[in-house]
Amino acid sequence: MKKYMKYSAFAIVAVLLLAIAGCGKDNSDGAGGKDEFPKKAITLISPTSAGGGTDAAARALAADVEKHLGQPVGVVNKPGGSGSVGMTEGANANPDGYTATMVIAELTMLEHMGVSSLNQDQMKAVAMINLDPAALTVPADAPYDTLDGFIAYAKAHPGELNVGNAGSGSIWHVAAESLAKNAGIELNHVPFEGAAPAVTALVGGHVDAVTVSPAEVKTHLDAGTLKTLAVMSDKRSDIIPDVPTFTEAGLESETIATWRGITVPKDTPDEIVAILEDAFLKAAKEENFQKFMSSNGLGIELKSSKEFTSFMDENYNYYKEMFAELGLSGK
Amino acid sequence: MNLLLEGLVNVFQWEVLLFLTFGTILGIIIGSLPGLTSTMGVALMLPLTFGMEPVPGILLLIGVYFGSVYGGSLTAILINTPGTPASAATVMDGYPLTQKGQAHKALTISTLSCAIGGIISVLVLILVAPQLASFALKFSAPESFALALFGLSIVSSIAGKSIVKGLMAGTLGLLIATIGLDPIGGFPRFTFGMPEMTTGIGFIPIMIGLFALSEAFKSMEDIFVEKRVNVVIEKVKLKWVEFKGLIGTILRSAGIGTFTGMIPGAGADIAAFVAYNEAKRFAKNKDEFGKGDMRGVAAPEAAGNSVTGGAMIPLLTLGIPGDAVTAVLLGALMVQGLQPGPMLFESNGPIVYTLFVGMLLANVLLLVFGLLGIRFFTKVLLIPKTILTPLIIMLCVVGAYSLGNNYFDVVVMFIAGVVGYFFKKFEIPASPVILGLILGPMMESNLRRALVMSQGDLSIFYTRPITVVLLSIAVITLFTPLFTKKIMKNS
Amino acid sequence: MKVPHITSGIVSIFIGGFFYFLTMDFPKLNNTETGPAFLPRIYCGLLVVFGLILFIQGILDKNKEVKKEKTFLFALLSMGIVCLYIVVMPYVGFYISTALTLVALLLFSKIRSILTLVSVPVGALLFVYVVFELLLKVQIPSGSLFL
Repeated sequence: MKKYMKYSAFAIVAVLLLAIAGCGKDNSDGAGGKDEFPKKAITLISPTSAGGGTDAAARALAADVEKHLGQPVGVVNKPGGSGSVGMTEGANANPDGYTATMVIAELTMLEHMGVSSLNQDQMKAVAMINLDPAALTVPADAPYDTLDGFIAYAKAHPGELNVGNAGSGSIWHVAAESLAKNAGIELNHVPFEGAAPAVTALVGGHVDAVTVSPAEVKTHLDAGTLKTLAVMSDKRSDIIPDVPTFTEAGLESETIATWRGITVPKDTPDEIVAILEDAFLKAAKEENFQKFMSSNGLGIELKSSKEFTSFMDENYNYYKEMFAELGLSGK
Repeated sequence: MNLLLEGLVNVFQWEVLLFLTFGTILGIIIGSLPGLTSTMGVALMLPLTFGMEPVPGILLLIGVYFGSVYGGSLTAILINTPGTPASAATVMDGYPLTQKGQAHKALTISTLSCAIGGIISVLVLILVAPQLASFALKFSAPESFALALFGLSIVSSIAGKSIVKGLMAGTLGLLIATIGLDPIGGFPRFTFGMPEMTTGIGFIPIMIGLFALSEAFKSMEDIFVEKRVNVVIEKVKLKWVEFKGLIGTILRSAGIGTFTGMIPGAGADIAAFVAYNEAKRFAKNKDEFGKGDMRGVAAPEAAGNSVTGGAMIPLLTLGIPGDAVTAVLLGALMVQGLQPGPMLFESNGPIVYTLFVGMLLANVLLLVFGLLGIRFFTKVLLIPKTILTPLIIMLCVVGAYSLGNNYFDVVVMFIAGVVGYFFKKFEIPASPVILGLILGPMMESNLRRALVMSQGDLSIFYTRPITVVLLSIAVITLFTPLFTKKIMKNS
Repeated sequence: MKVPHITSGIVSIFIGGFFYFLTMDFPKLNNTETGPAFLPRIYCGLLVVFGLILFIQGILDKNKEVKKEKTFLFALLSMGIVCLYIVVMPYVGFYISTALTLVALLLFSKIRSILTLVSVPVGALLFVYVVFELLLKVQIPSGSLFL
């Protein structure tokens, strides 16, 4: 008797669950008519941990995009491997448009760093949302006020200036290396775990300069403890419009910047990409998102799917050269 | 003072109170579930605050933050499952107290210590924040390295019966912590070609496995052989005399916690371990530590929760986030148009003091909910082990998964659970592994960063006063238990 | 003889040795004073030293060995169930695998009441669904078989 009861309990639970799972399946699999996309909730993968700038931007954007898609957009954090874990998962997701990824600049660098074989070719670009260039920032009481002054000082004291970056091979490390190369100076590169600790060390006077984005030093610029000498971009930053670009300050330089955008898996149909592109770009233009970005000092740079694709390709080739030249390649 | 009164008035509005209460309760729930950390809780609530007024918005997040740090200790004490890293140290004496049938008492101590520690740290924040903040800035790579080494040195006092086994476990934790990208060179170490391992093995899945899952395996074993392990919940309340004996420990731990919270890169987990060690150092009778000493609960709890106020010091006065949670809070403040930094107090004085009053109130709410809730929380122990154990196993799995929505973490958690089971069999303590995992990365990156900054000159470690002091304490802490054991044996 | 000491000593020496062997491939970086292998090698050395001490302590110990418990097999069984649970999860999804595991563990714990066998898994899954999936927006794996 007991035996029968045991089995019947098993059976009841199993049937119940299969039934529940079956229902779920019916709802989710009905994406036959592409004209009606989206029919269910969309997942936006953030390849960073909860709390970072990328995560915050993804969440702010997701909240606004919902209105345009008429379906909820949930942010899922998949941190790890300089973003490679989350972005790889995004690239391998079902190409039905229901899984999008917030990609970061590392997408075009990972392969050169030897961390992962992932690159932008495994994704389809939807839209670029944000771009923040590197900027050379020093303590407010430093003995130089211009890029020229900094370079002259570095030439007089070769290898003595400690420049903090966000980790070896990070975009901000590349920025400092490229500055050293272009100006013909010798700098001592000090890696930190991310930009924030590097900025803290600069405020505490433990390093002499950092090459991070204006957003990451904005608080301290306003407080007057730090000053930014020049921005590594072809145009001035909206946050600090008074600061010249590198070229204006007299040193030819490439744009070195971190950026964030939305992608979907490679095989996603173009009609679906177009719907997503439209919704994300619309949301990014709205006041809500603009306010979030500007209050966090993040620069908004919108690019369409097409522009974003060629932008990533350019980036990829540039970093390939750069990493080989700097001897940073992990291979 | 006027500002404080104004803050008081601002806080006592139904909307503000509602969100603060909601945040605190949500925080306690998030904290008590393994794998859901304070950072995750605050980050999840962040978008909600965008559309809100600054005060209720920020206080909602602060409620979640404070609540989750407290919530982690509930499961740590009741079912040996630290809900957050901050309560990893609480397990050492909290769970033994429960096994002795004194869960009620342990939870009371934990609640009181948390609230008192939290309130003290907020008071420190209100009164002397600017002065302390400039001290926190003195911490550069060599100081942080020395602090990490000091934290590691307490391994000898939490080692338990065999110091060698404790040291071995601690070293194992340190070695596991080196898995992943090398913090200075960016070279992937011991990753066996797996991308999941490039950022290293998270210590939270390991913590869940080592403590909770291994304990579940052991309970299953007891159930199979029908060892009747009847859990008794004695309704022993905390006596006033006992509490008086704890006040010294609580105050000292609150100081340690506030200080640690202030230092960029050091958080509640480290503070709790250090406070535990100091409680043991100051105790006359050390024998009960690890077997259910009340001080062993009070110290990590008070320290863990007082980190919250400490971490707000550099955040509000300098705009420097000391850890991941305050980094999210920094974003939340900026969205609200509040620019943390020296100017914040002048430009937004009333709001800042409203936040201060709100923080004090959040701690009072913790006390109220905690004390009222104890009767319900202890009900968990009334669930028969045969049913509770499978549920704990499920919670371990779902907790490890939800940490990063990552299946890999579940596998890590399972392996740690099996290893933890053998640790129990071989009487190897698990806490040193966690200690090594938490402090290993901090020690390594700062040691090597210091050497990069000094370009290889070792004098950076003995010419800076804070570094020298911390390194000396570290050496003393590491070797004291070795000698006292010798002396005890001889006498 | 103390078997736990000897066993953990040997394992420790083995881990130390194995990881030390792995560090042989680590590059020497020119821009830093200490390479990626610097600290791992120290840790490996320490593990070997502590392992040796434990091993010697274990051999020299004069106390008679404590009688071995025969409960180990039961623990192994529960580990097996959990292992199966985790292996199967990606395919059939969290909810089904969890329900089956819970029922299996309850049955092995000699619980025969149908009410318990049904209500515990259903209640637990409902809790996970409401708290983790609805409230905290955790994406619980639904299993590749159903995608």
